[in-house]
Parts: sequence; C-alpha cells; structure tokens
Amino acid sequence: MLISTAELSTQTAKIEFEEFDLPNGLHVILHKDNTNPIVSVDIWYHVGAKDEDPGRTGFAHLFEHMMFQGSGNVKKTEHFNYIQNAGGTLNGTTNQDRTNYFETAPSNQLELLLWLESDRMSTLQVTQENFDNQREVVKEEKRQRYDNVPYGSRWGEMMKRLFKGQTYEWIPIGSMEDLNSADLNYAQEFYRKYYSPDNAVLVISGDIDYSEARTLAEKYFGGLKPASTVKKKYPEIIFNQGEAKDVIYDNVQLPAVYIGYKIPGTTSKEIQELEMLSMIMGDGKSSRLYRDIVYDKKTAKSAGSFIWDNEIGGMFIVTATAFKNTNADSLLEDITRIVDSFGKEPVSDKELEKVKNSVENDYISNMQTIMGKADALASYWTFHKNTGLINTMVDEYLAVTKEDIMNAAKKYLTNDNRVVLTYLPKNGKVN
Amino acid sequence: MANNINAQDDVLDRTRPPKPGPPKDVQFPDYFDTTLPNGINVLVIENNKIPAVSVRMVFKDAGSFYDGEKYGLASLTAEMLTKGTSKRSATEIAEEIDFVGGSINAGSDWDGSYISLSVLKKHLNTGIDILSDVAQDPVFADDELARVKEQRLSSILQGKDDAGHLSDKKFNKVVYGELPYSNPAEGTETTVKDIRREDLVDFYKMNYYSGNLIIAFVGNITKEEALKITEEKFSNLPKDGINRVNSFKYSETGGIKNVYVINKPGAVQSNLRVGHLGIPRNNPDYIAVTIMNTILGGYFGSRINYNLREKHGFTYGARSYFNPHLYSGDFSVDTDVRNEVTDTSITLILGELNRMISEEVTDEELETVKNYMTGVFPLQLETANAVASRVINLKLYNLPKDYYSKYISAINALTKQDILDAAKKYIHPENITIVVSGDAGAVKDKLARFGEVLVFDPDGNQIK
Repeated sequence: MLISTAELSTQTAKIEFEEFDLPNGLHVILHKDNTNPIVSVDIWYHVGAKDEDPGRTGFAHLFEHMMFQGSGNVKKTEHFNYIQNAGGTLNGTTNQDRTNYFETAPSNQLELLLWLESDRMSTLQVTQENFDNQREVVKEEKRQRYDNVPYGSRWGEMMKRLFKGQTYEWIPIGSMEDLNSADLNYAQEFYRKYYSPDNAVLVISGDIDYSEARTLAEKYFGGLKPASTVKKKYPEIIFNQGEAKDVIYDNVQLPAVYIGYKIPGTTSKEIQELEMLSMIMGDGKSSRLYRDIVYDKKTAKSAGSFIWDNEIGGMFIVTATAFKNTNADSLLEDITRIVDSFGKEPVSDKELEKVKNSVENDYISNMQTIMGKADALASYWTFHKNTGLINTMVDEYLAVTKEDIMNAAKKYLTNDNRVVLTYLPKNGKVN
Repeated sequence: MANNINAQDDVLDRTRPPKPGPPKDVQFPDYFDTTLPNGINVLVIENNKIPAVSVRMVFKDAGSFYDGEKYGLASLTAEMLTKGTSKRSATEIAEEIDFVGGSINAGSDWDGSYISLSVLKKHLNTGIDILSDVAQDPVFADDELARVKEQRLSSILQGKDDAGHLSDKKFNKVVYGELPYSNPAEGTETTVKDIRREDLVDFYKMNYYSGNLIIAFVGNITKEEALKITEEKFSNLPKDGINRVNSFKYSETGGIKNVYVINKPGAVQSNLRVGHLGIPRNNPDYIAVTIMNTILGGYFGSRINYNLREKHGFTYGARSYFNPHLYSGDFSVDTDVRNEVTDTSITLILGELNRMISEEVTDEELETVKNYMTGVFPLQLETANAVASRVINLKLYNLPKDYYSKYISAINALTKQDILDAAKKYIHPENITIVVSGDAGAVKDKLARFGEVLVFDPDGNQIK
C-alpha cells in the first residue's frame, strides 16, 4: 500500500504564497496564515562561508554579529531592544551558503520589523569598539561550541580534508587566527558587496493582509540600491579523490567514527535519493545501522547517518559512537559493510514505504509554524529559484525508486569518495 | 557604512520607529478537561491545522524524585517501556512505529514520567495500539535491560567530558543538600550496575497508575474520539500505586561560601554556576520572580548578558535561571568564559546580584520586560503541542486553572517595588555557591577571594 501522490495531496493543505521582485532586485515572498496574531520576517542574504577568501575564514559569521550592532537610525543594543520591547524574538544564523536574520512578533508590529531590517540593509554603522567587542564574543562562541566540546572539531576536520582546495574547505566559525586579524575596513567592503536587496530574499509569513504587506515591503525596501555584485566562481567539488583516513586524539572518553562521502549540490535530483538512503541506513531504531551495530553486535552506543547538503556540493555522513572497549577498526569494517550493501542490492519494499511515510510526516511537521514555512520558502527561492517547491518537493521524494537509491549508493558511497575520521581518547594514547 | 539609500528615501522618515497597529486580543485557547472514574485526567487540545495527532501520557509526581538510593531508576524504567511487551519485542515496537513515520518516546524528569506518541492522523490507530501496549504491558526483559544499562554507563562516562554537565552535577549536589534533587537523575556507575529487573517492576507498580495519569490528546482529534480511545485502550492500569510513599527530608542549606572547581586540564573556558536554592513551581511569587529574573539575566537584553557579553566580550552568552521543581527549585547564573577572565566574570555577576537586591529597577527596564513577556506569550502558543505543554504544567504543578487566563494581567500589575521585594526575598548573594568546571591550574588561585576553593576531578573525588 504505497502512498500515492493523490492520497498525499488530499491530506496536506497547499501552502499559498505571493511573490514578486522589487525593481532593485529584492525578491519578496508573502505567506498569509491568520491562525494566530503573530508574524515572522525572515531575510536570507545569499552569502556564507563559501564566499570567504582564505585568510579571512569566519568573516561571514563575524559580520552577522555586526548586523546587531547598530545602523543609521538604530544605536547599539537598540535593535534587540526594539524587538523585545515589541514582544518579539529574533536571531541570525550563518552557514556555508547563506546568512539569515529572522524575527517573530505580534502581528501589529510588522512595520517595526521591516523598518529595522531595511535600516540595517542600507545604513549599517559599526564602530571599531563594537567590532572588537563582537570579535571577542565570537571567539568565545568558538571556544564554547567547538574548542571546549568533546568531538567539537569533527566537522572542521572533516571538511578540511574532504574539500581540500575546493569550495567548503572550512566551517563558518573560521579560525582563531583569522578572527584575530579580521578588520573593520574589510567589513565595509563585505557589506557593500553582499548586503544589498539584489542578494536577498524577504519573507513575511503569518497574520498579514497581502496588499498591506506588499505596500510595506515597497515602502521600506523600495528605495534601496542594488549592488550588482558579480560573485566569484566557486571551485567545483571533485569526487573520488581516494580514501583519506585519520586518527584524532581528543578529550573524549569513547571512540567515535565519522565518515563523510562527497555528494552533489542542493538542487541535484540525487539529493532526494541520498536523503532517503540516509534515513533507511541510519535514522531511528529500526534503521540498518542501529539494528546491526547497536542492537545486535553491541559494538556501538549509538549510530546514524544523514545528509548535509550545500549549494555546490555536500556530505553524506555516517557516524557511530563506540563503547569504551570497542575496537574502532572493526567498527569501521562493520559500518563499511553496511554502507556497501546498499550498492549491491535494492532496499526492500517495506524500507521504501517506511521512508516515504517518514518524509511525509516530517514535511507536515515542518509546516506547523509560520517560521518553519518562511524558512522553507526562503530556501526554495535562494537555492532552487523555485518557491513553488514548497508544495511539490514531497512528490519528488515519493517518486524515488529502489533502483534510484541503489544507483545513488553505487555512485557516491564508495571508499574512494570518502574521508574517515576516528576519534580516540587522548588519555589512552600510546606514545 | 551608509551606501544603499537613494533620493527616493527623502519622502520616508526613517529616523523614528513606526507605531504599532492596534494590538490583537490574546486568549489562551479553550481545551477539554475531565477526570474519569478510574482517575485518568483526559485533556483534549484540538487543533485541525495539520493532519497529525500527538498523545502525551504524563505520570504525575512519578519521576526521579522517587529513585531512593537507586539513582537512575526512574529514567531506566521509562526507557525500558519501549523495549518490549508481552505482544511485541523491542525491535517490533521500533519497526511498527517507524514504518508509519511516527515516533514513540518515553522518559522521565524530576517531577514525572512520560510517554509520548506523535503520528499522522491516518496512522493514529497503529500509534495508539503501540502506545497502549508499552504503557500497560511492559515486560522489562533482562537482556534488553542489560543493553540499556551498557548504553547508560557509557553516557555517564561521556558526561565526564562535558563541562556544563559536570557543573550541574556538583551544583545540585551542594545546593540541594538532603533533597533528592541533589542526586544524579541519570544514575552513577555504581547505582546503574546494581539496578535489576525487580527494581524496575517495583518502580513501575508504584508510579504508573491511572490515579496519577494525565493523557493529553493534541491536534487533529475530537474529545469524543479521545474519550473513546481512553476507555477502550487505557483502562488496564490499577487506580493506585503500590507501596507508594511520599516523604522526604527538607533542609535549608545555608551559609556555604565554598568555591567548587572541577578540574578539566587543558580546558579553554570556565563553565560557571553561581547560585543557591530557588522556589518550587507553584510558589505564589513565581510570576514576580520570573519578571525580576528576566531583567537580571533571563533574556538577551538582560543586565548580566549585557555586562558580560556586549560590554566586556567575556562570553558568547550569560543567563540566570530560576529552575523550578515540584517541591523545591534552584537559582543560578550560567555562563562560559575564557580562563583569564573567570574571576572577573564572577565579580561582575555578584555585582549584578547585589545591585538587584539593593535598588529598584528603572521604569524602562520593567516596561520593556513586561512588553516582552506579554508580547511573546502568543508566540509561545503557536502550535497545539506548545499549548498542551502549558496545560500539562498546570496539572503537574498544581497551578490554578485560571493561571494562563490571568497571566498577562498578573505581569502588568507588577510594580518596581514588587520586583525589588522579589529580589530581596529570593536572591541571596551572601549565601552563594560557586561552581567552576575548567582548568584548575589556570583559574584556581584567583578564586580564593570568593571562599574556600575545593578542587575535584570529573569522577567527583576531591584533589588535595
């Protein structure tokens, strides 16, 4: 009883939206949902760690912090104060490909949010003192989230090897050295190049009226100038560069294995196949990894797999945390055997149906909040230039066959296309 | 850095923030609430926005508080519910629920034990079958218990690398004294090894009964459906717990001025807890305390975060918490700071605590936090599950039924004097416990001015 597309569409209400470009290139997406008297504003700038130059790693994220430090009509701390005083919540995040800024507030405060976002899109003002302050804050963020955390270096170490000399060689937090040498003058240049209406999408989602929201977007953003920046050409991802294996000694108690396989970019149709493959392999207690090495063999405490997709190319990650006395080499052999099995024979009918049910469940859960919908809309526009995928992407997953999954496994999950990192306790290190 | 504005902007005055539109009325959503003759409290929070249902079973006042000397017992019992019944093996449970894309999770905290189901409406029957089975007929098989214990022992081992976890454990130990909250809810290596199948069976019989059971049906479901399901599927539990005792020693800890350092050689930051006992959730001053604490350290714009992060750049973030339980609670300021500024950060934190109890907050501070707390209230009610969590909390912590309908007016009624009174009553800098997880060699010497410095290893042994 495979779920058909027709059955799904009767279950799921279509997400309605309106979208248009302002003459300055800002793409605006509006989604009305009057269930609750709240509204989300979500701006994605199409700039991330992949736009950084060597020697300036971490800059896109450091710059995200600057966006909260004041603009033409908003002094330091006022940005937060205005929104919190309006009963709103706010934050920003930076990843490999984009930087986003988002707020949710009672819907009568929409105009305030647009005033603030347009002010910092057009007249950011950062003093040397505030720049230095946020540099220190970001260094503490790096210590707290990466340097002082067990296995905290894993993704940096993985991407450094997997994408050597290619796009995505470093993670958004950057290096201490580059953070120390970051300067305010370069922030000016970075701002001019990337923080412009023609490099952004504005999503307004929630308790709105379409024509009022459109008028407000035009009022606050219509007068801003485009930057017409020509972006650098991102180096391509090179597949099958030969297996790389390394051991890293860390302040950890238990050995752990991290395997990264290179996969194509976000818009590739193989992404859906690989994601479903990752779910069958390592999502939940009925997955193959869990059943094999956690439940039956009892050589791993936990295990899983997932895809980490980026615009140009990403990673298929397989990971397991071992028990203290597990032999990490034989654990790796077991994992490799499980991974290889997907290229040898097709997954079962039951596994395929299970993963399709999960996809449907996850999709519906993500559409519960106005911010969840705003992020999905922004993402489909930014990377696919096709906002309507919010209503049709599920169908693309449901159309995937067992053969597609097997072919994706054969093509990408090979030893030649992977980096293996084994983390071992520093204490047990034999000199 | 002004660069993007063009002449058209002359007509738009950007110098002042636009005025808000008229505020919309915020009502706490209606819900259905009844107690059946067998004692089960059925709640229905209906919301048909998405075709999904979650069912949350809450065994009230039946959590780690009742571990006794067998630390970890409540959480292992809950974890084992989904590891096999008379009808289904652990693997079959996982396969059946994963197959429909749903999830079933069981766990416990200090104040309760929980089982929750989340599933699309069209798979509700499948989900309910499994939920009903794991809640009422767990077998606690020995081989499954051995597996779960091994995993737990490894987690306990891993916790020794986690600075925040080490701080929490030591802080609770010192602050709660004789109360069960001072014990590690996940267990210790010794207690977990010693826990047997019979212990789980006893804990289950004592704490899982219909008289303390709340079942909340949330989402795309009517009260008629919910009542029918409860009657047909959840009537197998006894009305009362067996051998249930509810007595504990309550002792005020006081006057401890020690500094506890958990040594993590090579750590590049110190993880701090600065605090003391707090209040239980149903304390009548809870809302005043929350507003007071929000100004002090409860949100981004708070005094402590501004001082340590935005002014000094010592940390990525600093917050203070009143962490309430059913019978008591704690208060702490939590942050991570680089080694060199560990002592300075503690001085700044203590300074903010002293300022809080010695002078009134400003009109602007109080106004902003009132606006913030009342404004975010509708944001916190966006999903049916978020509403359900609040309704369950009313029940779990014995709060008045009109708590949420009066919430906004209770906040707006608070004065600067109320905030000062709450601070004086519940913040005691003279009775503060300081816990530091970090590199003792790098930070210890400068901490002596805060009290006697005691150093421990991650296993809890004192280092002389």
